[in-house]
Amino acid sequence: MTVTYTSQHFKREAKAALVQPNLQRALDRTTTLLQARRADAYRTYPAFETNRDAASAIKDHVLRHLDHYLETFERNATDAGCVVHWARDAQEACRIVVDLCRGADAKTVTRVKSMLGEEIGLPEALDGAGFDRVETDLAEHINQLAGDRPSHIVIPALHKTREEVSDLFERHHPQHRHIDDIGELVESARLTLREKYFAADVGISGANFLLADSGAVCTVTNEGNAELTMQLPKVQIVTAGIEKLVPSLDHAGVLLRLLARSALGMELTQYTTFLTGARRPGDRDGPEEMHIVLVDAGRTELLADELRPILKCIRCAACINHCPVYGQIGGHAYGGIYQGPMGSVLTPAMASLAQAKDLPHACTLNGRCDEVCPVKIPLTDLMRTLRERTWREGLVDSQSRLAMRLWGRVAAAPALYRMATRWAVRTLRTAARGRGRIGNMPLAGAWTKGRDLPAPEGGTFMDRYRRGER
Amino acid sequence: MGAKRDEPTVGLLVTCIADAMRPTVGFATLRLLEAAGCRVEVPTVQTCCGQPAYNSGDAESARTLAKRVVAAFERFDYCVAPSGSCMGMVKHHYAHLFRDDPDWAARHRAFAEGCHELLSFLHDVRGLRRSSIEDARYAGRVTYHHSCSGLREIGVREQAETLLRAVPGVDFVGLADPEACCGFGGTFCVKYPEISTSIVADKVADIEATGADTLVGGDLGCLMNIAGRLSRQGTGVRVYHTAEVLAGMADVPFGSQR
Amino acid sequence: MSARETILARVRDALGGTSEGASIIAAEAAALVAAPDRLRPEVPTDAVLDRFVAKATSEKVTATVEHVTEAAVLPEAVRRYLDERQLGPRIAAALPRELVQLDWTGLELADDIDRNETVALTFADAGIAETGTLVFPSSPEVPNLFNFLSLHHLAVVRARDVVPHMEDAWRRFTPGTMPRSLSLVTGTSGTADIEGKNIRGAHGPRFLHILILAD
Repeated sequence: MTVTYTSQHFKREAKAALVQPNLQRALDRTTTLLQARRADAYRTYPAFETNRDAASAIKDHVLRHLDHYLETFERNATDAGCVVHWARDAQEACRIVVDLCRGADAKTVTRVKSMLGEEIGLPEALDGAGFDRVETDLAEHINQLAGDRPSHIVIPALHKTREEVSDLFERHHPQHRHIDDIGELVESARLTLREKYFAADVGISGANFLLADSGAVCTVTNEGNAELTMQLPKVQIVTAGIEKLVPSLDHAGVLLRLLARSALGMELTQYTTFLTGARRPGDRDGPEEMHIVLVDAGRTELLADELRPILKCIRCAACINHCPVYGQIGGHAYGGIYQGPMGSVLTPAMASLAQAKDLPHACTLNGRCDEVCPVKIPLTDLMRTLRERTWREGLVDSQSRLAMRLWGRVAAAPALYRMATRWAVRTLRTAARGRGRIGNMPLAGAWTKGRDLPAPEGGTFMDRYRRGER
Repeated sequence: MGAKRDEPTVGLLVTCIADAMRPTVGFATLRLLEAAGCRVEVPTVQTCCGQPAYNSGDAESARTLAKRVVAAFERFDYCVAPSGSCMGMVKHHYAHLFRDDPDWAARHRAFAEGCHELLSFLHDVRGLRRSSIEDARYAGRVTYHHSCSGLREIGVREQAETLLRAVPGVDFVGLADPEACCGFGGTFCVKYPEISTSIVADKVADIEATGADTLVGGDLGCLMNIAGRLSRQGTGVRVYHTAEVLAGMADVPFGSQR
Repeated sequence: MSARETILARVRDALGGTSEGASIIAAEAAALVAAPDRLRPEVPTDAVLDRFVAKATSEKVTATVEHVTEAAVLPEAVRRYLDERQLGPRIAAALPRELVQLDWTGLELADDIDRNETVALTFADAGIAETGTLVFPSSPEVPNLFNFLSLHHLAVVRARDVVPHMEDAWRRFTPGTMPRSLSLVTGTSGTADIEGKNIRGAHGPRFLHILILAD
């Protein structure tokens, strides 16, 4: 299964998103709250910056020795009783998982939210193979009922208001009456999902960290759905990107201290679980089989690329929560699995640069993402790198290209440049008709549609300076 | 750049946007620097630092302009601009453009050490805690917008507020979310005008919530954007560049005609 | 070539082929976490238990805490919790032998857990003061599910097992001795998935009551 990307429609979808009242309401209610929570967590944790340096260094270290850590992890996980599988691409990963489910004679398959799972099209693959797929993360449950993609990597149903969720539950939950109270909505999902946990034959999750020295898989959730999904069924499958490795528990600890703080302003997620192998002699619960699928799906290409730092991402969404563009348009316009700054770097790699060419340009380069990233990924630099590629590969429209080239030539010739500036200043002054600002102007519609253009003051600095003005 | 003297030489990078749109910002900068004991020169070969090309992905055009800037300004003790954005480009991003050219990379490294944005130069390098212009005055309730590049690439944080608060008559009030982007983003604002407008509308709401009658900032791009939206919404809030207020040259706000 | 070999070959290509020895890599990795105190919140050694209680009962963690002076009065504390909420008498319990042997008169301690169990009583291996976290390793004596299923979760932790940081709590688990499942539980099952608002009892416990057993 491959995921269908729609990033080529970014401009259209972003514009449409700006005028969707429900989405706007949901974004307003959530993003400011998440920013305030992260700021609070930052203020109350003096070692935050030092820890960012350490976390970044750990991720760099692992990527530099990725072959070593992959082999070490495989050896230790196998010794602990896991079966380790390798998948070169999304199709191969889905095939392995579907075959394991078939081998387990599965009917019901429960899933814990995993962005890698979304990325490789696992939900679609499971549906296509005829399993009763149950998303247990509340937001993914909402998205499954609505037929929506995640619009945020941590809060995948961020685009939905409580009113919309209630409508959905009324249609799909047998016991639900229409109530907008968020607590009641959560209770309704609890009752529905509880039955599914026990009916499941296979539980599937992603991994936040893979511990090389013990072969353990670490998952973090606030809902505790991972624990129920991974303990109850007889077969447990973990799909994880090859970049998820860390050397040991202590290294995971450094990253854990940043993950929940960056995502939701919490010191630690409510549930942090390390799973090492399947049920052991004497155990009264736990799965009989534990499978781990290590997935490449484009990661080795990124490793070889200038974009390598994006592989350090721990999927906390701090960059997304602090992105002014995301804050206006939400996640769906990005047309992929990942959104905001990290999505604008990853999606061109997952889909193609041609298809996602608008994403790296849909950024004000304000740098707040760089500042909040817990592993110090230079997101705006990566965005500029991608912009350079769109330019080199002829993916920038010919009008902008011509304009930029022309401007470049003129700016490299001071005398010509002075003439051009004088002309531009006079033209704008004329357009302002003595009012000091321009409300509407041909060719400047992109600017003047939503704001006035303050008129130039008159004359250029260089001319006035040369005439002796001080 | 050579050893710093008592009366250091400063090459003033006017910036293309001040040159064309707001010459007063250039003159205000000149006054502030001279009053702060600098010998200021304005190289006449300067045009633009190349940032629009760089951020559009046109590295080649940007590199051509970058070399011109380094060549024009490297003889001064300092290069100063009334803009965090242009200075971020000149000081930091040029390094990326020259990464495969060791000679230019070395020239740039030496040059970059003397590169400063105006306010951080006055505050951090010249040690000023108040405007260098003795009779600077401004009557108004003033709020301040951090430009993102000033804030994050240059590290202009409290400097502007400290200097503004010291101007007699200024009643300073901070924004609720002073670190939020205004939605300008260079070419972003014309590539994605609707998103940009939506972001600046939030900024305007934040400004209005302070009750300030004046908005001051250190980057003309942001100020054109915010001033344009303020006047479109008919708010009556006056907009000035920080240099204009500090130099006592805040007479005609953005969007008014002399 | 197998998928495994292909991926490893791609990784080595990407890294440029020069690989250092395992001992050099291990030394580099160890150095990255050699000074943990630079990286974590300070927990004064004389205030470990206080910090644990403050964190566990904080607005973000939302547990309740009760001090139990000695093991003999633990059943009484549990009974009181249940009586006040009109719960019981059945509770699903996963406790070490010495606690099972206490006088639990009036309560039915079940060693299995129902899918809609209301109350579970379990024993934590450690408490982490830094975050108000409880540590639950799985073992044949302590089935794991008991910590995640019921509406009310009562957890016993010994005061002497409350440690400053997470590293202290997992120090005794070496790569060869990792339990099958090791869970750090910080509060209750919660979600912020609808409009970012925190709601408790998403799938598992809505209430966590920590009984700190004095040494």
